Amino acid sequence: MEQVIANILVLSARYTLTALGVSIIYRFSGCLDFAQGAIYIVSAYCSYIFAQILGLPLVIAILLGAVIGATCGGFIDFIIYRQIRKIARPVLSVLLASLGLLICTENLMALSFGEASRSLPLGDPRPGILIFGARVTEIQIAVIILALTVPILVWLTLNRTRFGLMLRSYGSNYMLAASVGIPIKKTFLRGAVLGSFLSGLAGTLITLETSISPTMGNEAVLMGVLVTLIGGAGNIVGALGAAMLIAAIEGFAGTYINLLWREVITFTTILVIICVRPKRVFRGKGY
Amino acid sequence: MDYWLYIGSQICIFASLGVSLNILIGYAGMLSVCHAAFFGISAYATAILTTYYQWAWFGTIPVGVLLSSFLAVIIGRLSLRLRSDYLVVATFVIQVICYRIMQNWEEVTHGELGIYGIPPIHLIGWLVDQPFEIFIFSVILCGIVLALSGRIVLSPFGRLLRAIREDELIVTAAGKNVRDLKVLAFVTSASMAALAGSVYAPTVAFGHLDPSSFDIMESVFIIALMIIGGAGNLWGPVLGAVLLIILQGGLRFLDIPNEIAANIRQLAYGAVMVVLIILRPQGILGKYGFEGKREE
Repeated sequence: MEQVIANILVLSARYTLTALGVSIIYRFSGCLDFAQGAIYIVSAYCSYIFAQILGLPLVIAILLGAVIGATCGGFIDFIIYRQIRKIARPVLSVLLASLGLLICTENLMALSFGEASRSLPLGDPRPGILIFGARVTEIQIAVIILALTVPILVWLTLNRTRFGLMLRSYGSNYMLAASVGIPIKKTFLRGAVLGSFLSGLAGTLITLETSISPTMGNEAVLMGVLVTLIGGAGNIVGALGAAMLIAAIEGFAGTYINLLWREVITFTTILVIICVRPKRVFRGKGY
Repeated sequence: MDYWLYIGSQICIFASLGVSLNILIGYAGMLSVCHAAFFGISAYATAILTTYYQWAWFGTIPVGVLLSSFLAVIIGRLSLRLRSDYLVVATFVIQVICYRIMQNWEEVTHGELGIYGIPPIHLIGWLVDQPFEIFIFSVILCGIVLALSGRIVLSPFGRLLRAIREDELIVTAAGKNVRDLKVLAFVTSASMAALAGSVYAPTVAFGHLDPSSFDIMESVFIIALMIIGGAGNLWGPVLGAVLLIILQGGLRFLDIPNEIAANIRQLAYGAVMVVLIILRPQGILGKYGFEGKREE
């Protein structure tokens, strides 16, 4: 039982980190950006190259991977989304374009690195530490710690800085924010870079323990999107709560119901939650 | 020559899928990424019933259509509560659920291995197993789907769907039953996709079905060919299917090794999709470019 809870905590940490980027971007732009999944993959592969092939220390590799992800996100915003925003209703267009980008990136990675999964060998497989009767590895602990600290930093950025204020203004009323003189392109670009950095960070961290394959961006971004929708856009506490909820469902379903049908049960439950979504549980950008 | 007949049959099947999705996206304005699920459910139904229970092919069509329609009713009801991007996510989740069921429900679908040895279509003495016959059959299917869609689009129902796309509130204010209209749109779209699925299983699938033909990528592929060819126009998806599948077939002649051919194909259609959304969102022939009032 303790092990199940530990697994759920680790899983919710992963989902929280994955969701941060999507959530921020959804908050200020109103668009679900599936390309964050692409950034997730790109950063993961970059970290893999840095750590594995270039032999850089792990922390540097992770940070560099995230930075590259942020840069890619900035480019995507600059080159692609900016053009789409000239259309009257960009929400669906951005969504579709981001799906297209996700597909392109997946296949680019598959072409460059092959379809097979790769893993970052981190020395001998360690048995991990025993805490309260559950086994967790050092990396899992690191992920959990980061899943608690990074959201705090993000919250501070969003709510206590001028930049965060600009993002929130656009999230709240695009026309008004633009009329008042908050620079559109710069804000959106910086927001995209921030969100992409977070997604890239998530990608590199999570794949430390599991393996990297070209298609993992799909599941990752889907989970990020689901956490965002349930937890509320840009709602950091909501994201944590939603991540824990989903992880708990997945963990308990897998352990006590049926491992094979774990995903189906989880997704069906999430679907029900999204449709029935009680508005007062997690506030967010709106329904 | 056989190869090009095969390509032609594929074009017809995917054109049918694109045309049916067009009802939903191009005319009713509801973006859905679970079309491959409708396609797959019916394909599997036909495959299982004909291969293991020796049903006549024609009898499996209603089964496939009913199953897909059932799912469509559920999604249609959901679409009432969900705003556009929420609907996309909900259909994404449904697509993933269906795919997982296809993968894991071993007793029925044989999981990843899939179903082998699907018998060819046997219709009143006509055994459809030659490439040319398969091609003719696919063309007939495509023709039926196009004719049906044409009738729908030109009917009052079609007008109402377009009205819903433009401004749902006004349609409600005018006293129309938007709920039933949306559900009907989903059911119509899903039924046509199901029909395509029933034809696909014994013909273009070469007698073998497995879940990988019905995952989220296929759904996005159908959307891509609709976007590229043009949404909101009856012939748009047909053009899109022609372009994309010929692209895929043509890659063969470039001596690209099999392992990366699929990746290059997907890369190509993903890229074209993105480019078209930027430059010409309504597609080559289309009339609906996802334009509209920006939600304040």
